Amino acid sequence: MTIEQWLRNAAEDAERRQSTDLIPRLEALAEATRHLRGAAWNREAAPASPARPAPASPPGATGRAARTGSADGA
Amino acid sequence: MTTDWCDRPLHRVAAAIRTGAVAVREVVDAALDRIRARDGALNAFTTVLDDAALAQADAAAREIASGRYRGPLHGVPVSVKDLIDVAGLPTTAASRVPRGAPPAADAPVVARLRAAGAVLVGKCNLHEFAFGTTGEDSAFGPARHPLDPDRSPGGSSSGSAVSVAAGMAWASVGTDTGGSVRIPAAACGIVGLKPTFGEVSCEGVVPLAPSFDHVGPLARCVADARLVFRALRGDDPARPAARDPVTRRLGCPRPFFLDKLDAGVRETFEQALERLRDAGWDVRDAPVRHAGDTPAVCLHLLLPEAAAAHAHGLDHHADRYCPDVRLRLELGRYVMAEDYVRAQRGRAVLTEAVDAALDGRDALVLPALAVPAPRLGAGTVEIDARPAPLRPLMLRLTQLFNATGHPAVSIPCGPTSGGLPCGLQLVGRRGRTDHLLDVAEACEAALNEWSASRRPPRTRYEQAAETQNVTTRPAPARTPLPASKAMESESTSTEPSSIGTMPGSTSTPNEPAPRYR
Repeated sequence: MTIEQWLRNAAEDAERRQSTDLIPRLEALAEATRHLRGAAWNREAAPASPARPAPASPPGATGRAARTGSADGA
Repeated sequence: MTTDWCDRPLHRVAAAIRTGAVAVREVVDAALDRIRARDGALNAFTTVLDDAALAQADAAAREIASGRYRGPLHGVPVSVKDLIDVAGLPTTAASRVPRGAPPAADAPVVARLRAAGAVLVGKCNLHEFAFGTTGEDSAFGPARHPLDPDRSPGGSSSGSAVSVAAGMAWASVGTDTGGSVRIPAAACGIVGLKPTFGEVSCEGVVPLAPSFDHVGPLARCVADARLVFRALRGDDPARPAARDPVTRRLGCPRPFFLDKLDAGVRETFEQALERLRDAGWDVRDAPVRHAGDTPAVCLHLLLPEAAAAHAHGLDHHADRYCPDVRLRLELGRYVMAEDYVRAQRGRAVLTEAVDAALDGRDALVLPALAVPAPRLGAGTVEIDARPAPLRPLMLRLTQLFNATGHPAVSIPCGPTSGGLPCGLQLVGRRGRTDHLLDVAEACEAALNEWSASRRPPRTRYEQAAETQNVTTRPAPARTPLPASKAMESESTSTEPSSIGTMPGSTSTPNEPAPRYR
């Protein structure tokens, strides 16, 4: 799941539960997730990992787009 | 009776007890008097154990008189963070969330303190469930800094640090999941040790994030911290720990760790490094690769672990948590499993990176806390003329070593030019906590004279606190503040009451509280 899809779903869930105070924290967590997925060791490790699929549009972890917050063109 | 004993280090008091230069009862009375005099303002304790402490004191005195001296903690008053089980007392975790019946047994760390002869004078206030760095979110109201009651003493072991810094106990036992022993130790100008992961038992301690949680001592000097640490670890006091020579080589990981510092902390830290160099220490740059990834890695591991530990509380008592603590716990439920796995990989990378930075060095040296004790209620502080969020800044220099498990200790190296304490952090090799303490003791000796020469005149608050009359009212056992009061205010106006049954604790489902077993 892309970070953008995740954030959209999470924010909707927080709104549904009337926990809108959570939304700024979810946005901050999304920023941390972008950092995590863009970490050098993560990019280095990804191609070698047998458990990871190699889709045409990788799930955010390896691409420059993920690091800039626009994973998979979302 | 004199209360001078309250300001002496533990090992000196222990020597006096052993030789009979002071009676155990006199020492314990002095601690209880100090608590009565100062805790009304400082709010360090959730429970004070006067009668039980005096009974322990008398028993210790009888044993020592009969030749059964147990070691350097025998007869010495200590405190324990109220996240740790003490038989028969509620483990409140400074929360209104029901915790079930009081534990029937002491946590092993408490049992070991008792076996060493320590006298437990009380349980200490904390940031609710140890999930915060200021101590502000507490059902008992915030603990306050001994030098300035408008400031936070740091957290989450806020009351533990205050109890030691203000002379109400000679040492305390805290917990450290992201820095919760080292941060308040740095803010209050005392020593705080996080041992190697797994070295001290976490059984009987309310968990926050089990793969990050550590138990460790807070004390007034490294020698005292070592005495308590060895007792907590279960060492035989008659058998000295193995010691390797200190090579006097330190590595300073400047990138990331020194990027965002309060100007006063930076100045004090750099001066401390100069002082160490003057004393013959070889201090070289030793960067930790990928250190900038620390916050993201820790967040994606710690949040889900905390949410799992509090799943029952969130499902059944969400409205009982302090709002900020609840939001952080809820956030953990949203972390994606795939990112948790990525973060686990990051933890392994960072562990190797810290090991590599330590190569050829006794220890890494860096500040323990990027800012001096913050004002209560502050959400941001100014760094390089820009506002910076306080919470991540307070965790920035300590949390990596919770993720990697390396032992780390904060020793005083201040004060800053503003007169507030500052902590110098030393990080050692995993499994080599004893060597780290040797290094810390040598650094402490090099810094002590310099540090003392920088000590500012006592504040008006300190002078007033020390000259006020000692009251004769019973020391307080507190109950949590009403929700509206504790949530909104910085008030500490808790009145003495019977030992803390938690409001609502009998009217809600009593699922066993999560504990290490």
